[in-house]
Amino acid sequence: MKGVKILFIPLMGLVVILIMLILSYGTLGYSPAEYIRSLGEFLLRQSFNVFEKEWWVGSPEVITATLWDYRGLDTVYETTVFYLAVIGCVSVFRLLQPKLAEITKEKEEYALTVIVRVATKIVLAVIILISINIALHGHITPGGGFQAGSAFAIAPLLAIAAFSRYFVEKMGLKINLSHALRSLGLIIIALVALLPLFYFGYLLQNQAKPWSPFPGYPIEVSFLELSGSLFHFDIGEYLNVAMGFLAIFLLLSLPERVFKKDMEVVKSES
Amino acid sequence: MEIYPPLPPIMIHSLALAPVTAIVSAFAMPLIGLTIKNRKVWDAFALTISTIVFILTGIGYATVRYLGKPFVYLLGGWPPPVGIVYEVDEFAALLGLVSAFIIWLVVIYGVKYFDSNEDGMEWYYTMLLGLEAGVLGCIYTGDVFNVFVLFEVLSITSYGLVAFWNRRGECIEAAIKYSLIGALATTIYFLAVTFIYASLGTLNMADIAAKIRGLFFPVTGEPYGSIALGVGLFLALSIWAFTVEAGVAPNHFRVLDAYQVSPSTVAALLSAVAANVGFYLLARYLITLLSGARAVETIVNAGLLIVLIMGLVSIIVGSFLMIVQSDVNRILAYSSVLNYGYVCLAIGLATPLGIIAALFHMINHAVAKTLIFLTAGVYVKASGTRRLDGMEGVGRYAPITSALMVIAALALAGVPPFNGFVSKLILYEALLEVNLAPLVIIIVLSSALSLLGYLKIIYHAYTKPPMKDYGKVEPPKAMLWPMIILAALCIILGVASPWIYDMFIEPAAHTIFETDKFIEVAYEFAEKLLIGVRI
Repeated sequence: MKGVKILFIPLMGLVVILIMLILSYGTLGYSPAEYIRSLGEFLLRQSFNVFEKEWWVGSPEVITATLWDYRGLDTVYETTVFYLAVIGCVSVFRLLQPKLAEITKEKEEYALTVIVRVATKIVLAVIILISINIALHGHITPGGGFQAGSAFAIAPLLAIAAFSRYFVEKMGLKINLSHALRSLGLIIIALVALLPLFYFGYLLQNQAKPWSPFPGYPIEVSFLELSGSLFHFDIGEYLNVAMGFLAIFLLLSLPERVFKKDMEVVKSES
Repeated sequence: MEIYPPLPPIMIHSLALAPVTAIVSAFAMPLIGLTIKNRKVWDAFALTISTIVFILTGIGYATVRYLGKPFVYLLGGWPPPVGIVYEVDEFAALLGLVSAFIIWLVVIYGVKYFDSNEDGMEWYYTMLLGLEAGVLGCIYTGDVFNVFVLFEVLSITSYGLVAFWNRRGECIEAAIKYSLIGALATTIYFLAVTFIYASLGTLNMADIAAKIRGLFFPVTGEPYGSIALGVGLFLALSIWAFTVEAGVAPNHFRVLDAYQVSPSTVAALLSAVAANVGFYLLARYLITLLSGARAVETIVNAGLLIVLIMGLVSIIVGSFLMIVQSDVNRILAYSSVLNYGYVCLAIGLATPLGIIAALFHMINHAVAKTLIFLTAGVYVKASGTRRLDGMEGVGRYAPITSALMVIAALALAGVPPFNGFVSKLILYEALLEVNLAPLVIIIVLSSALSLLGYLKIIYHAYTKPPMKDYGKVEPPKAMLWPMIILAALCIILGVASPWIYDMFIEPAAHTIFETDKFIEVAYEFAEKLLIGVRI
């Protein structure tokens, strides 16, 4: 039996490599692409093409332009997937008595050394600043809402490890705040997506199109480059992702005894 | 908006707005839950939103009927292969309308079904609205990658809903099974999409259909490599993913536990609404996109044969395992597998009559299965157990509910004059048309076996003398009315079937074969790209 198991893994690996080789070289003949697909070429040419403004997005960052404008619906729903995954998490981890979550105040004597704590505090500030930078520049340089939110997610994780869950909550980053800010971010996305409808334009429309009466979101406001709706979408997405990860880390860092205590009440009731 | 015929704006935007309304209110639900700690407000909010979505899908259906051709909505204003479009023909619009209607009734039922002290209702409603958006988005979209995204929305919410009773071990276990296999299915579908993009260079459904037929479509250029291999891999992987999503044998194992342990409303939604998405996509891909194209003929025929055989296996597995169960929801879960088998068999035939049978049976099954899950929910709630021997005689305390359950059971078993009979009759005709008479015998036998399964519930819950005093079992009016409407529909869809067949089912089922129209409508929009672009 053990021999079969030892054989099984390399065999599966071999099969996977064979299939990969067959698909990549020769048979399908497309995997190591020598040239860009024409759809990709269209996006590269048009996203900041000031001479053909009916096809442009007004952002030099083609990836963000594709994500939030050409294929905006996919990104809005991917945001939704993330949001709903967090909601599912919150629903599964919900407590019958939410007060139980507050017993996690830990005594200071378990704290790490001063060096770790001070260094973490400095790093925390830097992480948060960088994440905001990534979010606000997402439409000009590589980055965007999701990347920024993921960068921010390191901050509560570090803080929980170096200090405690209680420390994060004391900073004001409570789970209810995360719900509120997340919903706020999503409502920003929803409003930006729905606004063109009031001008009889299309859902999720960004720039003006000859076949739509919507005048388009402003490309720049005085010295600020906004790239139309991309900037607003990125902010909404940043709030959603950052606060979503915060909620998940706060839930995961609840000690097991809290859930056990909660279950005791359920058992005694039934 | 001069590119659309002169219609009121609400008619143009209704199809895009239906899923978006659901999802935006799902975004707002936690905020409402935090600020207003009143369950009644949440109920009212969810109810209002599901009503609005139902009306929007109705307007959308009217628009598509009025235009007489598939309706294309440009998301973000981008014409087809560049941006994402919603391409809704009558088949999709009708299915969307039915789904929104069932969800609406289930939301009404759920208001009183969950006790007033049930916690986490704000999360339940958030996920329910998310599920609605996922279902409608999957049905309306005209983009294969958008299907993947909406598929994820649909799956993620259904995992959360199965695990809603988070302090019951069996629910969590079922949710883990359901989600692991489901996540595998969505990943497999993602792989399928990469193959189609790699070989055709496009994600738009109309563009894919055109490319396979060797027709010209702007911007996306020529196919790469061998079409047959790329499309074959796409088809093989997506059949697998969709049959897992729908719960067709041999991929049915994950749905059984989920339907068994989750709240009745959730089980009804998953079984009646979410599964239909899988069938819709199977029919759309196998028939509209790929059938009739010379280059992939053998592959598509093989795919159709596989779907047909899976349907057959599903019928046999469902009907035999259904009668040996002793848990009311598990009987209904196997009954779902059985009915999925009928639909799959009908899709596998790929004849006009077969698709009519598939569509009609999808609708009939959705109505009757929702009804029977909801009535069973009343019994389970009153007796406190799902075991048949624990709910003996409970039906006598609730005569109206029991009567409704009998209607649902007869409709599902296919007894005239109820709706299930009509769709099965059409399926027999479709099978005889292609000289598959032996399969008719299997279907008749499976229906007879399934009747035994339904009678088992009725025998235990109604015929046996009550084992204890159950108190007040008859549910309040808010729960009764959705069930009465569904029961009335079971009868109307059966008695008025000739009229419904002519008016709704046949024209809708016919559109799935109109690939030329499907391509042409999208091409009219795509032509814009030829004018202005130097590429």
